[in-house]
Amino acid sequence: MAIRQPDPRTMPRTFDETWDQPKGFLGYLATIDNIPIARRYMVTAFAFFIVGGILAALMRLQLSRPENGFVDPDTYNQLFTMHGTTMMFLFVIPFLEAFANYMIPLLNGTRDLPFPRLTALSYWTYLFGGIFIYTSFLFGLAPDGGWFAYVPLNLKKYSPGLNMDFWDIGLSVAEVAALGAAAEMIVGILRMRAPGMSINRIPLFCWAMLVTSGMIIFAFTPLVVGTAMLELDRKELTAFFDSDKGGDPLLWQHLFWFFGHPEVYIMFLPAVGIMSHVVQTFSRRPVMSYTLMVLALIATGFLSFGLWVHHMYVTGLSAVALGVFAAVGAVVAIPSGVNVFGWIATIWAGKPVWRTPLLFSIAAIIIFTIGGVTGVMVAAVPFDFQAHDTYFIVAHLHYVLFGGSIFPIFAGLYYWFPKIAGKVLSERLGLWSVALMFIGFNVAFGPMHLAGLQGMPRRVYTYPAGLGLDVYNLVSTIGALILVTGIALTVLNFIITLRSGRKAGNDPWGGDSLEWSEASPPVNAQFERIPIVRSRHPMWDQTSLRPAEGDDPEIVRAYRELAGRPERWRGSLIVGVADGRPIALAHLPRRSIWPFVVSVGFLLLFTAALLDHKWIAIAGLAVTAFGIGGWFWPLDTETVAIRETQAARDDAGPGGPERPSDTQAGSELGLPLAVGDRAANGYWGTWVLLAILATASATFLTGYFYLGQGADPMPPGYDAPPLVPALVATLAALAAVGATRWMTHAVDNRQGGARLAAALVAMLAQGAMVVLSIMAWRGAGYDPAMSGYASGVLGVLLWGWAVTGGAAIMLATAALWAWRAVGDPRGNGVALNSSLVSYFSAANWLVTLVAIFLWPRFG
Amino acid sequence: MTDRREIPNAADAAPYASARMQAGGKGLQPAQGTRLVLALAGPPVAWVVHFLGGYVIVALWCAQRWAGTGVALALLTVVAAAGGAASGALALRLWRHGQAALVVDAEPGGPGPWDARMGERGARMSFLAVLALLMAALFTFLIILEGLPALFSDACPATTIP
Repeated sequence: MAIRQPDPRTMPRTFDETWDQPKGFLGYLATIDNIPIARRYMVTAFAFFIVGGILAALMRLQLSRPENGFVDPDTYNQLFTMHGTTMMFLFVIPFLEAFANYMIPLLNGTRDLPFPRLTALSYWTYLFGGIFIYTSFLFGLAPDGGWFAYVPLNLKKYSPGLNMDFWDIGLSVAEVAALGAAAEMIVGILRMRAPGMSINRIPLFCWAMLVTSGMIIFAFTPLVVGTAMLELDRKELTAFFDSDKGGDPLLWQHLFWFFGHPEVYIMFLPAVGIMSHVVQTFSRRPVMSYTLMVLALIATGFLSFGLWVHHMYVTGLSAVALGVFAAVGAVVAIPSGVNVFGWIATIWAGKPVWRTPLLFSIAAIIIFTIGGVTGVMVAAVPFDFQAHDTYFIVAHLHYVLFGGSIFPIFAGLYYWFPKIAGKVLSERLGLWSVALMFIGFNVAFGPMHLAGLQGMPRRVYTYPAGLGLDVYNLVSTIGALILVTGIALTVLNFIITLRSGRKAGNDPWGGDSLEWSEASPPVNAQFERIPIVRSRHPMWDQTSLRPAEGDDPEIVRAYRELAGRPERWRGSLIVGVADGRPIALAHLPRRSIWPFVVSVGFLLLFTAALLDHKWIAIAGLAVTAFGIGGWFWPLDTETVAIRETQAARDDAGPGGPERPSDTQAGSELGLPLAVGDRAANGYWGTWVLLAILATASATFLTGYFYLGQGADPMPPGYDAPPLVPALVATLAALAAVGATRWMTHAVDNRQGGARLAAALVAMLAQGAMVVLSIMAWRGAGYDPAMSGYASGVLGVLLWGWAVTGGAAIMLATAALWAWRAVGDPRGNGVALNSSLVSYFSAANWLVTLVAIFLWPRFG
Repeated sequence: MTDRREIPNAADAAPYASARMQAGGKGLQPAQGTRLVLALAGPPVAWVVHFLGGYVIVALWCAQRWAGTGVALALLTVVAAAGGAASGALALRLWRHGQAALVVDAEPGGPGPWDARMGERGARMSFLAVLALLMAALFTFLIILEGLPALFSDACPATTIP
């Protein structure tokens, strides 16, 4: 065993010491606990909200009267682009993720999210991405091509400045952060809950975040791919979207709206979760039909992916396509209607207590319903032809987003502020705030419906007098100022409350879910004793969260093993997805500087991409590689955790440990540690990663097929790429699969040498596969800079090379473990996880072979 | 603000507790778990197949001006809708199982399986089955709705609008 043995002097000794927060400046950067990270997330996102709001206010001032010269057209373009970008990508989604980071462990009765370092990485990349985009203002180069970045306008020849490069690259950073958070939520919600919290007892906010996270994977990945294609096009390396060269601008619209429509529901579904909690707490009864609410969440999650052409009705698609998408557009109103009626019925049947969070929720219901009705209107094709790109759409989308995200976020802020800051926000200021915001919002955006129907187009910096638009616009501006005042009152409320607010007890509202059982704000470990759940509303239905007469012995045992323990490392419980039965312990890392280092590396890489600077790129690669190396270096606390849990199992013998009472509780634990097998969080996380990779593959393939000529895959004048190297590459791919299988077999049979050899052979085969497919590409002699079709081919191949390279790096890590510490379960885990990615890379190649090499020849 | 709604604590009710004290028994049958997953995944998968299949059929066959495209779309719709409906039928059967399990679990001193004692197996199964049933209804309806446009307008128009 070559793993360094932990030095007892550097190890924490007590439960409290294990769960403390690192101090000092370096400690600040090394913090990975969900609570402080989520707080920073919220503060950062709210700061972006205020900035985005200021941009909106400037636009409203410009539009307050006709032919106004307050800002010039170029500045106006930057204002609306950055307003949309900021609100969508830098405020709403990050803020909801911050809520989720903070609340999900508390709601689920566990101690942290499964991958705390990923939480920190998401935060830092998001922060750097946001700052990156905003530095463009310093150079007067703020993005100005719309938050949807339509081509050809945003190709290099029509937008030569760096403006949209800032947008493209900065956005990619924020998207990566969202993908990381999504992986974490999925594994966390499915696997890390309190014992007894079976699938029909998961709080609705967690259900909402589970569905949202799944949607983020399938929606954000195409956007990351799309923005990468756009950036390559802007660097004139490819021609995906350039119609002069056989590219297709509509491909961008498809990719963007395949993200863009689900995005609306990605922002709305977490709000459904928040509102359900608020409505049931303040109506003093369980929300009407938990089952229907869950159904609505899942159904919306699926349907939202069949809606994207909604935004493309006027692009000249066939009548059948329009009919199909109009049908989904109408049907998606069903689950949203279920949500709305569920809340109304809950308030109706309950004994409502009219506090600010409930008032914000009611405002949200009213506004969202109006936005939903206009949504069904624009889903009708003939109406949309009239309203497209007018202020009617601006009104509609703001009704949906304010009703579906902003008001619910404020409801959640007022509801959970005691849990986050330990103090209760002032009711009086809150009341003024909700009233002014509700009135101001409707005064601002209501008249836009009419201005739009009168023909006022979107995204124009001014309008001539005498068209009947003057009054509407003036009223809108007045409304916007009222709205701003309402929001400012809430900000004031935050400041006053933080300075001198009333201290909150554990449970200021009499809520139903587990977060209210802990102190406000909770300690860093959140639950020193993991609660036992016997109901969907544990705080209402249960007299105690401790073991009670008649509890299952397994649950009681898990409870006792985790009561103030483990002491020397951070541990929490893994439960069965459906039944909430305790399965294993999870080890959680304690602190780590590496997420920060990796995100600095990302920042350097993205800067290099912006400036085309070789040395910055090399520095970025070096920092990223160094950071990732440090990240995956074996953790001392994990070594201790493995030793303690193995010792417990060895003591207990084959029949499993028996720990009937607290008196026997020593330092060893009876539950196994989930590491290196299929129960480990890392294994589940790898499956989420595969879903992301597969989505990206599908997106590149879509681009390839789209840029071909329908049934005839190649444009005239092209020969199919050479088959021989591709076929040999296929043999190499199959060899890699065989070697990978050999490696996992050797892991099962504890053969160290075979494992090392197999990993090396698999890497070699993958290297051969990449080299051969590069030869095939070169043999084809395509020029991607001049041809959309060649760009499509290159995209698919490039992605395959990237995936295979990643798989090879993972296999190298597995080989390292096999070489240095063959008996360590962590090495087994690396081998298992890398085998999944390795299989995926081979599968991806087989699909590539059929699509690119065989179909043009024989199809 | 401490006036909590009083809801009787079912978990502490004596008969239920005594039932849960009985050791032994088996968990959810693996076969039933698979069927639940099938019933839950069936409707959305049927919808996705219909959606993507229709997209590919129109993209490929219309480009070749194949006359049977409309018929192929109609056939696809029937098959996909049948898949959704079959998932619903399966969900209904599972729901009945879940209801039966509820009765067994509620028997004082009955031989309730492991997760009946802990996580109310019957309640959980019923929950998931109802979820699957409602999804089947919604998605089957949607599949039929999305199949209709191909009947009313030419699946492969010579020109596009506007």
